[in-house]
Amino acid sequence: MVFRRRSGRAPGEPPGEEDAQFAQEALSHLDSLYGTALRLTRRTQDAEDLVQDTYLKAFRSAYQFERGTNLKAWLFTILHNTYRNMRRHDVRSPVDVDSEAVDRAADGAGDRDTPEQLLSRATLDADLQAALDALPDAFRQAVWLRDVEELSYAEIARVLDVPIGTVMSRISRGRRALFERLQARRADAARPVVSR
Amino acid sequence: MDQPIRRCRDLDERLTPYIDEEAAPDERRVVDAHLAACPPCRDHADAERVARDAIHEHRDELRCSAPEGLRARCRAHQGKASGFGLRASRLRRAAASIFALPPSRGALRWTARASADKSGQQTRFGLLGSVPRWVPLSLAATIVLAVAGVFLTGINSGVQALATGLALDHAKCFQFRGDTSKIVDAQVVESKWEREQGWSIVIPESAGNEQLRLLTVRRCLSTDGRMAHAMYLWRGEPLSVFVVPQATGRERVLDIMGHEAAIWSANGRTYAVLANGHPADFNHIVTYVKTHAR
Repeated sequence: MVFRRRSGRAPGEPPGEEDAQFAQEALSHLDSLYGTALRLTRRTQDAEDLVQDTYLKAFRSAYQFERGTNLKAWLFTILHNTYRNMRRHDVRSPVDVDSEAVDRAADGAGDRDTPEQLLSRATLDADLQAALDALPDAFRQAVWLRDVEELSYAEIARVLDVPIGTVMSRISRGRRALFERLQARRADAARPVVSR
Repeated sequence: MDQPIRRCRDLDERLTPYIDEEAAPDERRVVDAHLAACPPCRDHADAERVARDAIHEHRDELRCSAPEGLRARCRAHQGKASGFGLRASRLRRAAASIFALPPSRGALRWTARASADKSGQQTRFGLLGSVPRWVPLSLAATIVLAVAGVFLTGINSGVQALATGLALDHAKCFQFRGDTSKIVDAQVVESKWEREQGWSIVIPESAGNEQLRLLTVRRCLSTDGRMAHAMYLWRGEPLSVFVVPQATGRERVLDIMGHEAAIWSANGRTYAVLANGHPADFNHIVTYVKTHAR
């Protein structure tokens, strides 16, 4: 168990001032949870269901949260556990970590832009969204939690239930794959359109 | 972490803390030395840094706002989850006084075998004489659940309210059923059901290779008794298959009060499979039921 009880209050005991504060703080992370759920499920209705389930579980398990630790990371852990539980029975597709494909993408470097050229593109954020969405799930989750949600490596390890070394490796590979995808999109956009 | 880097792949998990400037000075020197001597790894480092900076630069645009409706629904969970906790606590104290239970210090467990792990607690079951210790505790919990269920319904989406009802019926029916040694023929109970209830069900037969045994089919309280509750033993453990004569929407898998539940609709019926706890291959039995229930 990662988090210890914050107090002796069992789930059946009356809620108090502390619970109201807990709820308020938990709800302040709603946008973050929704954004992450949307990245995971890719569908607004599924994302809303996932976030609702997360809050329901969080409020019922509030007594397990250890004060002084990162509440946002704790909520993300519940969100990802709930998502994994959903996916376990979902026949659409297993969580894919196609490491070889990522290696190929990361290693098959052609002519590279300078960082300045890449960053100067006006349409970068649309491309960035698309490139992020195209990453394999495991890499996207690690990169998202680190670079958008700003969790520590250790917190991400708990959220994703993988060793910390794996977290670092996934972030590294995910960022490199993202770079390659951004370059590929730029190359496509720059290709001249020939009309006859 | 400042071991030398012998092969480029050793760098894999060491590059990110370096790029993020979280590597210790010694480690930083080791990575610097490797990058100075290895152009491909230097390219990797540049690529990682560019991607990270790009995300940081556009972080605000990548984030999004939750719909207001969702905010309201999540906020509503808070009040009701706390309210439920309070009522459950009172109900449990009431049940404890009826069944002479010691007050529980831990979480109220929701599974039918709720108290199997409460080894330290000694209890007596005054009304029925001497029975195995786990029965009165879980019976009390079931009664608490049955009453608490009244408060629970309506706190969630329709599907979760339904699943809550199913979990209550699952616990209650197996609790009061006692004899699990006899099995029944699926076709016999199916035709009896149609004769008495006026609508048909098709449920999986007992199957030796699946270790699935059909015990009985009964009407249940949830959905005003319009639901068929097929009670099975699967690998010796209680498994419920519920059939409701109407469709409720898309497929859901839920954790409801310590039970794994899968709910789906097909051919104008809603089916639910519910097991105690979280069996490793729950998915397998759900697929089996889907294939054989129509």
